[in-house]
Amino acid sequence: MTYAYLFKYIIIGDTGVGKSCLLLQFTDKRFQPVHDLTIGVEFGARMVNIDGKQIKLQIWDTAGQESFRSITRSYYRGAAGALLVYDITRRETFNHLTSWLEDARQHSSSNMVIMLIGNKSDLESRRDVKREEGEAFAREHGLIFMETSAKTACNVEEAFINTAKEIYRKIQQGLFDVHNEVGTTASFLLQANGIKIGPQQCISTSVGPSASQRSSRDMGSDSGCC
Amino acid sequence: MKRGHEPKQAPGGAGEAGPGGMAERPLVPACPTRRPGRLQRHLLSGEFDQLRDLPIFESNFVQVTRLGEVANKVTMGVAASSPALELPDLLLLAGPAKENGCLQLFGLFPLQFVQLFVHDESRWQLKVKFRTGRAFYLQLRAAPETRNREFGQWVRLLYRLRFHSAQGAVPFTQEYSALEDDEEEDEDEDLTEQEEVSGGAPLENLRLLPRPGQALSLCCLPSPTCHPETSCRGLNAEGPGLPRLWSQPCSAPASR
Ligand SMILES: Nc1nc2c(ncn2[C@@H]2O[C@H](COP(=O)(O)OP(=O)(O)OP(=O)(O)O)[C@@H](O)[C@H]2O)c(=O)[nH]1
Ligand SMILES: [Mg+2]
Repeated sequence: MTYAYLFKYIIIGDTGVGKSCLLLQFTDKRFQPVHDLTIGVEFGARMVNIDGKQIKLQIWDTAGQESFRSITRSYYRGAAGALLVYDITRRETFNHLTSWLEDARQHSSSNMVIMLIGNKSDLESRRDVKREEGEAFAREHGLIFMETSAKTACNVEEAFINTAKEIYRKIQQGLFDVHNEVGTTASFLLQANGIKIGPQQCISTSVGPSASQRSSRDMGSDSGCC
Repeated sequence: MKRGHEPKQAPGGAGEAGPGGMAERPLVPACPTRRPGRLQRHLLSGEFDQLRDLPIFESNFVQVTRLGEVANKVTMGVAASSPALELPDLLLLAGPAKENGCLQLFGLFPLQFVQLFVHDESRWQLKVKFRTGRAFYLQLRAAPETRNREFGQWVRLLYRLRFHSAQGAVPFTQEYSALEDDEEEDEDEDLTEQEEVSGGAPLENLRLLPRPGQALSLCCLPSPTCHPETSCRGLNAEGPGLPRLWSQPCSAPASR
């Protein structure tokens, strides 16, 4: 399968907030109830369709635990999008957002699109951080915001896809400097901004399955279920 | 052997990285003395810029259960994130995507949080154990005539890693869930794995090794990603062996 663009994503946030579960739900549509602490980085990938363009998301699921923090910093480079995740049932994970954001801003391109995610929205009875607080934080720092549940899959597709839409919008506005090296056999232009162009001859203009319908939804946190 | 284009550096990109990080990408990679393997070629194909120039020592394995039943193909490699390092500091795991057999990278793990053991020498089996408790078994897949030698290289590497990193075992705290085995091996133990109660995690718990169904949503480019002929700058073919820096003979015995 070919693609028009490849976007690198990085998922960051405190340990246990559900980063790996979000990825697993997005790539495999399943939930993992056991916390398998991530060490280093695990990769996932999925095609999505934005505006009739096939886009490959290459997702770096990083370790949230403090002992891995300096290693995680080295993975930001070249990310076009970041999912910054906290757990709505643990306030400390929300309190740490500023420091995650600092890392992200310091180690990645200023154009990187950041999606703030309040995860575990299925645990409403244990909620410790109001949705409005998440919204306010996002507004203040210029982030997109959604609440998700990796368990019920609520808003998980939307979180990944809306981030891609925003990156794509920036490309179209010329904010990302993306240009293809036509005729090279290597067919990739390695970009510092986390976006690669697929081989010219292979750019698919056909509309792919599943993701396309979803991608027409409104951006934002009001998609119903959460 | 030439490279198409230089990856551009991100302005103000990652400056520092701890051991196991990867900011210090070698500009001229140390030369592994073997033909680039599948994983190396996969990384050279360009989807992972940051890993493009990592010289890798790698082998093909099958994941087996503790009792030796074969599960799936895995390519495991080690690499040094900086040419200044004497020993590799990263472990890479990859495997074929189910739908097309193209290699996909599962993860990148700082070796300071991973332990390698000889599980069953007679069957060329290693045990890979994460400090978080996850463990799995890999059996070398190689031609009968090179199998012993290749396995021997892994054994030497595992000794070198262990003896050179006695102080490298970074304190590791489990904040969120309980460590599965606190009766962690001593640093000076025999590198042939001790029998232990916890054993290897069942395959379905190994999220990192092929997730059922994952391949369905994954694709790779027909040409650069899967092309076995991708050439490789800085790698020379002087016959099989560990990357030079890591292959000095080790005084420790290679097996029990
Ligand atoms: N109820 C509920 N539990 C969740 C949700 N997402 C994750 N969990 C649980 O939270 C725990 C941690 O999830 P992980 O995805 O492993 O956490 P992580 O952020 O990857 O943690 P690190 O790898 O240590 O950084 C697991 O026990 C999950 O089952 C969710 O949306 N709802
Ligand atoms: Mg994780």
